[in-house]
Amino acid sequence: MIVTKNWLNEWVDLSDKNIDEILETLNKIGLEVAEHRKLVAPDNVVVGKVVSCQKHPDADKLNLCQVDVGEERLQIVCGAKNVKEAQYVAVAKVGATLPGDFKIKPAKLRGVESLGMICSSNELGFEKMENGIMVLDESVGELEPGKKLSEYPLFNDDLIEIELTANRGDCLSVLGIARELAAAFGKRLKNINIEEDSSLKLGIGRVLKLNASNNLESSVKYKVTQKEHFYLPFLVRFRLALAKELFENAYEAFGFYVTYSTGVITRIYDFNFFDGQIELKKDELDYDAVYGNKKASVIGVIQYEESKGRGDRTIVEFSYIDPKTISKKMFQKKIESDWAFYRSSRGSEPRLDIGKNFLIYLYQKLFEDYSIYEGSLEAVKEIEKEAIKINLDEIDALIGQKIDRGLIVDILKALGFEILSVDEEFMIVKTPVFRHDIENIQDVAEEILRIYGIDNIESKALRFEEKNRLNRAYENFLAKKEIKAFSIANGYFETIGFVFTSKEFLEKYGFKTIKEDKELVNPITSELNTLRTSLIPTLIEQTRNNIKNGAKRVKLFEIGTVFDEERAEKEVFGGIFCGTKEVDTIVNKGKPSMVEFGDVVRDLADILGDFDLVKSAPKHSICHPYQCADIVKEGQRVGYVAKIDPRAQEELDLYEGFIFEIDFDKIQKPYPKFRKFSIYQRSFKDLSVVVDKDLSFEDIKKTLSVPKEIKNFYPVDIYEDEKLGDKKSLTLRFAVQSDEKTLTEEEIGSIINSVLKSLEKIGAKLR
Amino acid sequence: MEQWQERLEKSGSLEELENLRIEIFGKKGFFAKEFEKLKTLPKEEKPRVAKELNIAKERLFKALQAKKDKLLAKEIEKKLKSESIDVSLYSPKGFKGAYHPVNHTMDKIIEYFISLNYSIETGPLVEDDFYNFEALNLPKYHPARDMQDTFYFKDGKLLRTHTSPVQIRTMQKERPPIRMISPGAVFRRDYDLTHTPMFHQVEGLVVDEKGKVSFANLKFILEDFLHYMFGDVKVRFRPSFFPFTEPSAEVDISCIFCKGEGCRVCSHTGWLEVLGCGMVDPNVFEAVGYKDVSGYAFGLGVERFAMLIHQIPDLRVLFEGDIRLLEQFR
Repeated sequence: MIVTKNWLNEWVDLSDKNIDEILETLNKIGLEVAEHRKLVAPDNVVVGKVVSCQKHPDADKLNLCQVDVGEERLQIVCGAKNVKEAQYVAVAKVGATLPGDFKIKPAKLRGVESLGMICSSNELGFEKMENGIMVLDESVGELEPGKKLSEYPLFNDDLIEIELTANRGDCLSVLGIARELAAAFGKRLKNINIEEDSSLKLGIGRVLKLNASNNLESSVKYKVTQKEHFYLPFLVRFRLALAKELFENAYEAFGFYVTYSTGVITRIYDFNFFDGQIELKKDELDYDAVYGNKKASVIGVIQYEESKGRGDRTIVEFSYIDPKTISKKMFQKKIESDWAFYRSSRGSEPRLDIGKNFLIYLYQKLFEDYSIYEGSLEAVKEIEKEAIKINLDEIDALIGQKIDRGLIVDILKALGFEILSVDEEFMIVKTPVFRHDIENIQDVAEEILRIYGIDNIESKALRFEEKNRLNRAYENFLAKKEIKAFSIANGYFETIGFVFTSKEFLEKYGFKTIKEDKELVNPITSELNTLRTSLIPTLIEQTRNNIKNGAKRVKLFEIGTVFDEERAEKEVFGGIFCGTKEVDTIVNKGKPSMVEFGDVVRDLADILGDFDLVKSAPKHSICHPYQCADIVKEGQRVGYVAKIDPRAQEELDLYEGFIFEIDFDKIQKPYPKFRKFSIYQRSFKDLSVVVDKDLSFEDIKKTLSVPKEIKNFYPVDIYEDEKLGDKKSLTLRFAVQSDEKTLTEEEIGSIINSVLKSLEKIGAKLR
Repeated sequence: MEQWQERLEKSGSLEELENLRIEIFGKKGFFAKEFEKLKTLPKEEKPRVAKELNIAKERLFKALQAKKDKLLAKEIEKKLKSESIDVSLYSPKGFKGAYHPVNHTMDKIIEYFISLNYSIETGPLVEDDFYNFEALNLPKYHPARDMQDTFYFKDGKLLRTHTSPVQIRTMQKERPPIRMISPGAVFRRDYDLTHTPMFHQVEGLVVDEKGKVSFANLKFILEDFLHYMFGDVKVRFRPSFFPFTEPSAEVDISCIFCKGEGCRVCSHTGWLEVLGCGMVDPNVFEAVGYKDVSGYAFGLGVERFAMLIHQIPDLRVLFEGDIRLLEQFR
């Protein structure tokens, strides 16, 4: 909502307030100032009267004007099409500096001397109004050639743009904002004085009838006006331009100016559109509509082009409809709307007489020959606001401070509340009809709080009862921090990816996708058109970009939400390790080799602790078919780690690399339980055996039965050679330890022998 | 004797010293010979000469030991010196990863509230109309719904546009007193310089018996929190509007870049908007069936905090996994 200080001043006396005070107050009472700027005509710009205007002798498009600027007459060459004799215009004299550091100097244009410039609103730093120069009229004030433009209030002002919140429909008018300032400054609104109109004694009933059906939900009031050669006065055009509200139809613009000033939705119809009768009834969609020859408008929603004012005689309509009523209607049966719906749905001014009186005031102030028919036609629904009983102690408790009862009364009165009764404990009030946002005691508390000032409320610590609030989410928070810390220590960068990804990518690489009937309706782009079912696509995309930017080694991880086909959510810890295994250093002579399976597994071990790797079918086609493993922890499959398939690697412009994804929920540790450990010496014995190439260590582990003294065994070497054919040599290390005593060499030997026998049973031979 | 002393002093290596030791103390060495000579001396002179010899021997032996220690130290020093390296060659660069600045900021925020005994609560990202809007006093036709452009699914569900649905879920699950925050990702259909379709919020909610929780309490906690996050800043409350709180306020801090003088970041106002808050609207309590309670709620955008704290100029770069950005937060 754009207003100016002088515009507000027409409704409330702000002459004793400087602009900083006004801006600060607006912010304090909840009307956020989005912008403030000075609106001042530059120095040496004065009112001029065009005395004569002829074509330039040597240029078709230029005019040669003699302009009276008070003490002298200037010859000015002007290129504007709309310059005419007898106009009052704004003249930048020689010596003026216009915005953009444009200095006015004496000039010769096609051989003719020009001593100044006739200006458009744009050139003076104001909002653009129309093509061509700015033609002034008496709505600006008394026009005296030579008078400085900045001496007129319109050209020496402060523009204030207020960012209104959705609940304050009452502030969508200059009057509304003035009312707020009046309350904050402890002032009264000015009265708009209408002189007794004696121009026409003809009653409206002579020319127009209103036929309103009795099931309407809106209120309307009509006046009939007559004015030959209707035009928009300069003041109105200038201010509508400031508010960035431009209309093609001058009547509609004038009606809008009344709306913008008072908040009463005001429409101007062509008199001849109605054959002397206005029909007001429900339309086929149950909206309140106005009919003449045809449908003229829908109350609070739209006016149709054909019914807009065009001739000398017009019908002016002031209307109101309850914001909830019209919003619900629109939600159920949406129809085309114009500027009115924004206002009616947020709550326009229901007191139609404010608009009616302001219209008459404007005619009296701005026009000379006009007539307004006496009386008005109306169909008005009275608005009865319910009285609210307010427990004042409750207000105090809500705010956290005792507010003086007299002050509360003053604040509420200034805001338009009707105080029905008040004592120390209770107060009964009626909310103003124009405040649609106030329904309960907390709404009233807000009014008191914002005018009293949040700054004046002393902060107080809340007393609270002790309670354990360390829940599962807290444990997750700690677990996440730990996983993150370990990952970071291993050189991984944490990233955040959108939960959106490309469905095409998911399908191409065989990832799961959300079921069609649960898909997004309105994705933001085609690349982000579905929910991710894996963290890998985003991590790959981020890795590609890093490689494009020259990275040779990319280690990224994310703990984020993914979805399954049913759109169920889970948190996953996923990562990628792509490129060289190490940073270039003096140690590796700047030539680190590419990352290998063991490198990423070691990283994961640092992060997750011990786990087993079990051969797995690829989860999607980014996984290498023969380097893909399930990660098994305490017998439970918690995730997978896989090499990036070389075909995918090439297609996606990646380096060799590995990916992993782990269900975050499954890696949380319970309290460890104590297990007895042997206090006797432990020995290690290696056995190198030849086994089938296909026999995995996992198979050996599953099938090999060992005596209880073998505490643990693990592979330490693998050797494959053509000479071995379809066999391989595997060296296993056995930890031998008794729970009861220190074993002798002989005892160890016989244990190892029994192991060897077991190995032979599964087809392994000592090498 | 002086001559031995001198030779001891002069010896330059452990080997030379060992040879010297043999020459002096060996079986055929100097002292062996001198003691041999004792035999030829008259009886009455023997004790005196023997005593003198023993004293001299002991003195020389001590000198030898001292010299040996000295040479040993020198030797070790030499060996160690040979192992010297240019340590500066090994300055580690680029080894460690880093927390994402947004998550790190979120953690810092969460830690503040944990320390004040707020619980952390979470909820689903895919929500329905009731939790995301209806229960939060945002009926379908409400004009404030325009404020939030929503992602919808074919089955009518939606991606939550704020973390407030978690407040509703927590209030349904628990009974007052409640004291919680709900951190997490939220979604709005907006993608430009200053908007991403996903971002993060932390919301807070406190509910207790009617009359217990006041706006003054809300003011206290937010002032303290903002000082914790931003240090010595001024805090300003401006009345505002949110459908789910009443009274509502927006909270500004004095601009941390220009100290309130006015600069580009704060649009020359001297203030930065960082929080929204208010007293929970009675309609929200009604939606979860709470009676005779009072409460406050607040919410903030984590990206905004992270960008202010780290002076990151661009929002979108936070979601690109760009190492050139991330490595700055090691």
